[in-house]
Amino acid sequence: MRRIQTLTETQIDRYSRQILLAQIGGKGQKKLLGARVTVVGAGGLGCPASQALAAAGIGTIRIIDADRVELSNLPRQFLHHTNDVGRYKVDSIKDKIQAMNPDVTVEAVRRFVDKDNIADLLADSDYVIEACDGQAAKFLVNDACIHLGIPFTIAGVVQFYGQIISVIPGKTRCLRCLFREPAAEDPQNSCSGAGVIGAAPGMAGMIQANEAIKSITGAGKLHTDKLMIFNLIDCSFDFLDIASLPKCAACENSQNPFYRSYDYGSAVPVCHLNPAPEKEVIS
Amino acid sequence: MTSKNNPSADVTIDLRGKKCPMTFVYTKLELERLDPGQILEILLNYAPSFTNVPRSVQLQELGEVISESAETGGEKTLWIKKKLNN
Repeated sequence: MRRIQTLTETQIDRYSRQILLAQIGGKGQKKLLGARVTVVGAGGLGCPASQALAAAGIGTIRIIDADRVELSNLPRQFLHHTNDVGRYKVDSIKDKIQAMNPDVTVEAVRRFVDKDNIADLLADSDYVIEACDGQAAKFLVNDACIHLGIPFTIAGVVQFYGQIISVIPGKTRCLRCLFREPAAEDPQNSCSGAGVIGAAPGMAGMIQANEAIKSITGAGKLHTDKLMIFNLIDCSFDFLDIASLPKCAACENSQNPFYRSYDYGSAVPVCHLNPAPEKEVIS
Repeated sequence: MTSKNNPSADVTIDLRGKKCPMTFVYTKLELERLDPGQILEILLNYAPSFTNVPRSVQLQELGEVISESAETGGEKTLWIKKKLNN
């Protein structure tokens, strides 16, 4: 994390409502401005997450996705506009964030994460937000963060439903402790097969951003050792306590890169179904 | 506004012309910079801040108002001692 010595008058004005918070203050705001958060996925979760991170003044946001914007993305991927259709999602998000907050540097990475690149793509992150749409991707990010020792949060949504878990490697239970193995990909249980309302990933992504903000500033308590399950059609929220689950193979030997030898199946490269672009670029 | 009887301040900030909540924002940022037990003097001329700033300082347990001037010409001075071990 970069050390920010002072806030400018403009920053004091911009972030005044966060500085007012007892849990953040000027010290917390400087930590946010000095932090790097990596968002894996620039879709339904990645848009609201990166939007909230940028507005809050996270100094560097690295956003990773090789996908391009499609018209059917727009009802839930709020940072992409109609005239962005066909563009790389990360480029679309970078433009919006740069217009929103000049304090934020966006590292737009036009790639999908896989076993070979994930350590490099997550390097130097103070926090990771997993915002992909496939089981394998979620497990890969989970397992890599456990090994790299980076705190992170994972969310998944479909229809009006969602689940969220935050993890502090070495201290709290992770996605693999909870589910052990990725479920087989079921197109009928995906956003493209079963549908999704934008508010579901919108809310989940915002909660993920808030978890990052709390982790960086030390504010409050992270949503660890429990799974939040929300149902927006009934407006109900449930919490599953997972603190007593036995550790998974990734957590048990976290000094070893479990993810390097695990078979994530055909879903890597992950995050979507289209072929990867010809050129992988970081801009 | 500081008289001989007023506490001796380690730092003074002039917040005249600023309104709530920025009066408290600047007070809080300055208290974060001070060492525990040091005294911050703040000059105010926005009437709601005369009560809002002390209340917020107390609510967030940043310190205590150890003295205040009489209100003169719409202005007021507060002296805040930063909480020990803050």
